[in-house]
Amino acid sequence: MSRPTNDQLLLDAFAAGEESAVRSLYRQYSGLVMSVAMRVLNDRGLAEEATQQTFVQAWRNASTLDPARDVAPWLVTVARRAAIDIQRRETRRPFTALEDADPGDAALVTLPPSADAAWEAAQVRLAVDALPADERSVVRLQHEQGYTHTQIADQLGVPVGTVKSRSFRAHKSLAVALAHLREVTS
Amino acid sequence: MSNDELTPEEAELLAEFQHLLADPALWAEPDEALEARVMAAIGAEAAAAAPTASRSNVYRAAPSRRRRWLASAGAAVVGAAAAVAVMLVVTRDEATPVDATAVMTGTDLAPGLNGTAEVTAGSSGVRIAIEVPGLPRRDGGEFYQVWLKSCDGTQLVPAGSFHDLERAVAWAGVSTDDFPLITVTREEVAPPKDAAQGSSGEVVVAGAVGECPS
Repeated sequence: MSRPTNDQLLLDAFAAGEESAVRSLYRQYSGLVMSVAMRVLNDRGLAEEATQQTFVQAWRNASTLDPARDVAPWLVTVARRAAIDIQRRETRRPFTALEDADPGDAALVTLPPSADAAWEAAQVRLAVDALPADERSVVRLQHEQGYTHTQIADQLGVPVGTVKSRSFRAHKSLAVALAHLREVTS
Repeated sequence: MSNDELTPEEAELLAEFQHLLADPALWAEPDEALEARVMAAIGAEAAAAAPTASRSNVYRAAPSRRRRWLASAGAAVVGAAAAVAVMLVVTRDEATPVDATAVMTGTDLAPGLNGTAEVTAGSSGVRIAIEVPGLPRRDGGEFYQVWLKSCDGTQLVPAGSFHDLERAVAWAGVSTDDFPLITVTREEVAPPKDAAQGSSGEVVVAGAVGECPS
């Protein structure tokens, strides 16, 4: 007897527009979508707006989703488009003098990342999300904050050796998870 | 960053992605309140799609996914209340004949757990004797909800709410011929007027008593 997998059931339910499946997918992919939107908009409020639009649009168009395919690339595409639409809307706002503009203003962002660049960033995010929480924390502090192993150990209240072993495991996992990107681009 | 233990190839590979790993956008998370806003926005759109239908009419209307959204929210409330009432009078009967048995498998939320669901058809509906040892008990405002689901995922029927699934008996007034999939979700008591109330989607175990077309 062949039985559908749980992921298959979830995607079937999402494609059918079932509320519980939408909620479940939101919890699974909202970070990914937010990340894509932030790369385009560089503004937290606008990125949240894009994230909301992404899931609403995804729900509207769920019947077009092939449950046999991975949902992440589809959501990334929808998210990038939603973010670009918001960026265009922001650029049409009444202008202010360039020297008075907020450097983080979305209207000052010159070009959104290409679809390939957005997908590459999304792949990195997915790889990071797949890490155990303790390893993910170490990677984040290392790369986003630029902390040393000693600083991370102080921050997390664990021995430096623990930080090193978590860092090693995490980066090993990331290298495996991202290897296919090099194969694609090389 | 020190990646001394990585192979040169791995270190080189990660160096290529250093700019992405260091980008704060990579680590962005939406505010927790956004989930409620997203669900409310979708719920409002669903409601707008059937502006003149009363809730009872929505239940009887021909299935559309927007209408199902409303129906599932209401049905979960009604179904959960009915299931609680049923559970007060039903006791496990070891001699009950079994028509079909589903192997229940834990999802990522309950990795490694397995159990069974024995289904017996009766005149008032199907009896589902479900046993999933090892699931942590849920008390207070938290509980497990058993669902029967159609193969295409378009219809979901509540079959009972429980504190634990060591030995539980659920009932549903539908046929497993039409609803061969059995799922158990983690739930929390929601406010009575929560428009988004329904299955949380947090499936902990799932199984099937019949085949679905591929």
